[in-house]
Amino acid sequence: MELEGRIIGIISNKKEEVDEEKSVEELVTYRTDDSLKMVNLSTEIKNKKYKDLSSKDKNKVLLASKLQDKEIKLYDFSKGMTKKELDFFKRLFKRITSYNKQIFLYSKDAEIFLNCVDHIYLTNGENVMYTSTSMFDPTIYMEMDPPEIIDFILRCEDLGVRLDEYTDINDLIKAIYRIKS
Amino acid sequence: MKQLNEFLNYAIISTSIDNELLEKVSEYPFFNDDLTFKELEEKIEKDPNKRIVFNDCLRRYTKIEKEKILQILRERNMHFINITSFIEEILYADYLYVYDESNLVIEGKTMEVLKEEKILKRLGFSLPFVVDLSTQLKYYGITNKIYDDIEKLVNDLWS
Repeated sequence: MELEGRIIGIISNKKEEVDEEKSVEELVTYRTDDSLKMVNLSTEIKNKKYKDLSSKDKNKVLLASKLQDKEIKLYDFSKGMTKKELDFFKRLFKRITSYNKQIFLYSKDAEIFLNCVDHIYLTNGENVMYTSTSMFDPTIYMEMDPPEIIDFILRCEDLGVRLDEYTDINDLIKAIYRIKS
Repeated sequence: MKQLNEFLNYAIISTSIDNELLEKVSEYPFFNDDLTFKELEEKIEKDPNKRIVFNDCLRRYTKIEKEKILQILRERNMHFINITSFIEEILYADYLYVYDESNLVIEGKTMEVLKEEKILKRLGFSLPFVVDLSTQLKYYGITNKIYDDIEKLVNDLWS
């Protein structure tokens, strides 16, 4: 199916089948060194087997192997990553899509969608059940928890306290301070 | 890792979840991210062990599903070690180990370790949202304590 958007979030637990016995070099075949550097990996891991990598490095290798694809599909990409690394990749995704590529993020971790995707799709595996462009749309959270900051704002709304759609904790704190003082 | 207290739940966060880290808790049975919620629920209900390891797998489930899992563990008097990269999940644990690759950097009661914000940030971790928010609100005199539960924070804030 053709989906609208540059960086697309698909709410899904889908996983990718990879031949775990392959080495990094066998998986990242096009301009291996440059591709590994682009995803913040050392070229020293080239001879390592995929199965021996940490969970986050596995995802980085898979991204490196797809950098030439027009449509880049990534599954549970945030697994094993710290917030700092996720922020790095969110910036990288934006750079990649500026070269007329699409990125599809299959995940149930809404934190990777926040400040990153422009469209979110809820599917039943084959068909699109619902689509939204807003992370503040409660319907998208039927099968996934909202990011913590959105959860907080939606809970406040339930108590009749209307806060703007903040995605930055510092902006949220300022807004609470204004209401409380 | 030293001898575990049989009555505590543990969390391990690391900048790299790899085989070397998993080796440290290999004496316990592992649950990986290949199970649906129903399958995980059924497996835990039948598991004869007193302690199990979640290998960065709870992220797949919603908060409600995680609560159900924790409830089953409590009812069966079982405890867990949760190896996770998802910082929000450490709040389910009583005791926290923080690793940089496979080197232990800091350990202690979860809320005590979270006071070491500089160390966590240096490793690339943020504080759990509710801890971060309530810490800053406390600084501005809006709340009087640090929260580990978002519902309680929201209720206290607007009551």
